[in-house]
Amino acid sequence: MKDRVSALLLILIVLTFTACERLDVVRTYSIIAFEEVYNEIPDKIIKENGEFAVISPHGGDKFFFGTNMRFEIGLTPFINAGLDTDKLINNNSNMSITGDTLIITADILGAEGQTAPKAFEQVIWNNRGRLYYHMEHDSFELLLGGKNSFKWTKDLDKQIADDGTEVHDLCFVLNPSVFVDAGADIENIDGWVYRETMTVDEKGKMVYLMRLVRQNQLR
Amino acid sequence: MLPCGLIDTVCVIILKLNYYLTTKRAVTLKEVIYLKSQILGIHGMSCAACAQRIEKVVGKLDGVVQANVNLAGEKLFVVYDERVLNLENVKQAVTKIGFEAVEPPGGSSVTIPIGGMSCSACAMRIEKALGKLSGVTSASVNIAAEKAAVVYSPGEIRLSAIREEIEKLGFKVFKINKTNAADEDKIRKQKEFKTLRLKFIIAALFGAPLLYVAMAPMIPWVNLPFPVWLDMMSYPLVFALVQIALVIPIIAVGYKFYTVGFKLLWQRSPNMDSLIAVGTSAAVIYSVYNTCTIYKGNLRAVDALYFETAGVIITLILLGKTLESVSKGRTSEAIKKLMGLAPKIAIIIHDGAEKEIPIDEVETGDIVVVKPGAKIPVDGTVTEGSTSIDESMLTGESMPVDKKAGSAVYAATINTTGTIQFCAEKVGSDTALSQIIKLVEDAQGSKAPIAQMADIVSGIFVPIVCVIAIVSATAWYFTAGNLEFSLRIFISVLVIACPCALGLATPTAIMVGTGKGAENGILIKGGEALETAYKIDTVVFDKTGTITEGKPTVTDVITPDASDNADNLLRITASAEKPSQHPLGQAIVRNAQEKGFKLYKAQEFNSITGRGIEAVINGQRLLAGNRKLMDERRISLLAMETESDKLAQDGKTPMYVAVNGNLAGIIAVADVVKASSKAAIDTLRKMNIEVAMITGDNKKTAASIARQVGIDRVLAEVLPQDKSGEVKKLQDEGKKVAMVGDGINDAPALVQSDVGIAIGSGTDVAMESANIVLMRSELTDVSTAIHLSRRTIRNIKQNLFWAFAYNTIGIPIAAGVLHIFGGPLLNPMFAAAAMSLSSVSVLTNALRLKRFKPYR
Repeated sequence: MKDRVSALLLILIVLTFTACERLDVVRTYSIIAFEEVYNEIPDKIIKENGEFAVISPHGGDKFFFGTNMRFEIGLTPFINAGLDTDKLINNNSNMSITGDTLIITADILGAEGQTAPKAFEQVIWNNRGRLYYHMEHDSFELLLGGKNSFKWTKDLDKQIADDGTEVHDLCFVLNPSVFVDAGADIENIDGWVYRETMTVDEKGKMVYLMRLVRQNQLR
Repeated sequence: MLPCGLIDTVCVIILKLNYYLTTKRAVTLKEVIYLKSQILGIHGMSCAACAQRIEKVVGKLDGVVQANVNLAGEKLFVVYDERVLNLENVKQAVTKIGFEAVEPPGGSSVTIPIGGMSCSACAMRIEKALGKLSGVTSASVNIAAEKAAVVYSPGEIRLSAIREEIEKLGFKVFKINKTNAADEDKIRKQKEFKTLRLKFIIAALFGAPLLYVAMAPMIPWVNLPFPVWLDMMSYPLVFALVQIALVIPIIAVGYKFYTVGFKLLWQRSPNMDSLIAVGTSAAVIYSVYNTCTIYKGNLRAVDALYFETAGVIITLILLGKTLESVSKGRTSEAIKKLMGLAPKIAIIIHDGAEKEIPIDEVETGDIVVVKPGAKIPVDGTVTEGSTSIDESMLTGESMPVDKKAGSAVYAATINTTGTIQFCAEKVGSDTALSQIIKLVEDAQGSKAPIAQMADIVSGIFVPIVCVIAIVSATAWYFTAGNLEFSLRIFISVLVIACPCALGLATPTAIMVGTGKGAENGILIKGGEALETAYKIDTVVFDKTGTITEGKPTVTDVITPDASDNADNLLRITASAEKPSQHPLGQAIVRNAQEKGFKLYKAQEFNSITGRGIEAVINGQRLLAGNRKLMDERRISLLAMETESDKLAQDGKTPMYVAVNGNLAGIIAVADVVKASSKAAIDTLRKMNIEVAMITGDNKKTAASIARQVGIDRVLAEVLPQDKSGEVKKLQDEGKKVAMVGDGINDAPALVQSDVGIAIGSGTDVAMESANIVLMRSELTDVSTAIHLSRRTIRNIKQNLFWAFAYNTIGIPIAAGVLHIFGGPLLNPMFAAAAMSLSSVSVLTNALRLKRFKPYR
């Protein structure tokens, strides 16, 4: 009798874990959605120095998703908008400049993978608590810390959201306040849009924030 | 006592007349012979619609003459031609429409505690012996509980015979508790309330967290604590599954809505349960479908879950039903009280000696002895002795009736003065008391509960909603060409159309209404009374004790020379009457005491049965009594004939007083009208309500009282057993009748009427038989009760409006009307808003009833 109960408990535990994994549909479909993006722009997802990166089709900025998660974005449009780079670097420890490239390090766990989709999948697994789904735009958002995030769509064919706004397939999203503090004219940064975006605050509540967005339409 | 065969024939003749009157087809004598009547127990009924359906279906069967369903008693009374069909055909017809018909076990059931059993062999011996007795249907002995459950026909075998049989076997029988309809009904109602309450508690325990889980994410601007693992945007499938887990117990406790609601919908008689079943089923099925699509990757479907809608609706409806069962009406306590009136013991002459026996064992032909102060045990005729008997329980009149050899006496009446012997002629179920009990039972059983307004409205609303759902879904299918979308529209309409506050609309108004009644001294026993009283267009008042004070009062003290000797006359007469038990004498004593007269002590006193009294006061010989006494003692009444005639015309009772052989004066006694009676009747007239008076008293007295209070329609000299018949006659004229009474004899009429109103100072039986009790015994409260009822009904209708209003506004949204112009479709926020707005509106509106003021 004891053996039967133990066996039943074991089966239940296994089923529970299996079930738990299958219950996380946001994770599952976020990975599937990224794979669709990957399939749509395979030439824009590269491997550089052993790390995978997504290149923004507009502007060439990069989002690295490997062991060292980070944005690498072109500094010129910011400087042209009045950015004081010294002030920026001095005030933000997660930022550094190499040539004309601004590097913004993400405050999340990195990951490795054989392929880009696998690496991205591992990032998601490692940072599940930073992954959110936005119903209105039918898109996913990975919070990178410091109000920065990486967004990608679930449905590449969806152009207009329920609220009538445009849906973008791939977005790099930055916290504008650090640039404002460094003297940049936030509304005139070439290639970047300063607009309201949906995100999640520290308490996990859905909020709308004004942020800088590099938006890309893949279809 | 008529032989059984003759009773059947009489019943059938009555049925023949009824059949002719209802079908306008004469039933021949040949057909009458083949008519059979049977009562079947019906299981599965839940409301008046079920009862009507069964009556309709059974009534349509070939060969069925009459079919009546008693919903409260769960019985079907059917009369049929046995040549055309048999009872099995009837049972099959009932089963076909979803109910169960069983032949009742028949007879009474009793649990007999038995001592002395030691093993199962003892139990078997008892069962075998009882089973052999003629009249015993079944006997089952439980040795562990030391009880025997016996079903038997009281007409064939007495309980004492069953007890004797057990004792003959050598066992001891302890005190027997007979279950009766009243106890069973009370137990059933208590069980029903407990079950509903438990269901509501379970539903609320799961419904509260369900509502929180579903709604908290929808209102992010309110910082409600919420676990991350339940966040709908992070874990939408978990979010949905948790809601499924919470809604399942709620649906489980509310399963009856589905079994009853869908059954009635299928039978094209939808009621409130049908609306709940359709709406919540649509909500749950649609939500489960959306949960599956979430699993398949359609994460947006998390915004189309309506589990909390279904859960909250069921919870609130259960709350409403629990509140209803608390305020559910009249129990059968009236019958229990009536049964308690009969004495338990009788004294009979057996072998020349007096013997005490249980009343059940008195047989016809026994000579019964009744001493002063005792109750008459059975009906019979006096053989020896004379006395006065208080028959107020039968006639309602407080004056004792003189009895001598040859006079009839009735069970449960009270012997006042002398010892008598009488021959028992009607025992058990044949006594007049039993007839009253039967009348009360029959009247209670014949009235179906009113069809509740919520059911009526739902019956109309459900088909309309279904049509709208089908039409809008079809329109969208042909315009948008998307099957899934049109199905979504179809289900959305069904979901939003289900109003959660529907179940609260009536009980909240009833609770506030009954509370308001209590504040005004009006005890309303149940929502049904409030829901019926507003239709009352005729009020019938009992006379004695209702319109009048109910006890004799001195109205006039007249002396031959109209001198101020009147006070002296009253004083000495009261002194003489002090030892008397007679109500007339006591009225005189009361009047003298109220006037502050100090009474003398009577040196001699003698009560002359049926005549009056004789006493010596201060050395003077005084006679006080009726005309017969004066005539026998040769005291001339000529000097006061005129006054005497006038008093009789006014319906008063003159008590002649003679002192030392000469007429000293007349003291008139009458049952006076209550101070508030006229005002009460005037108020009812202003409300366009017809007023009538019913009494067993003579026509002259009745007419006099009616004149004083302004009543035109008088039904006088009505026997107690005919009072309910008179009420029925008025009802057959199409009137909605309220009966106002206070006596035991009023009980059948109180039960027969559409609304029975008892005076608080009346008997327990009257108060138990009535729907409404006027605690202050003020007749002006009758109009207040009716006015309160009208206001309550108006409030219920308003509540139903609010219950439906918001949901009805939501129907076009759900049907996609706004979507045509780019607007939204139905989403859970709309459904939640409709639910909360309607609930708040209903509750707030019900509370407005607290501002009720009596009609003046």
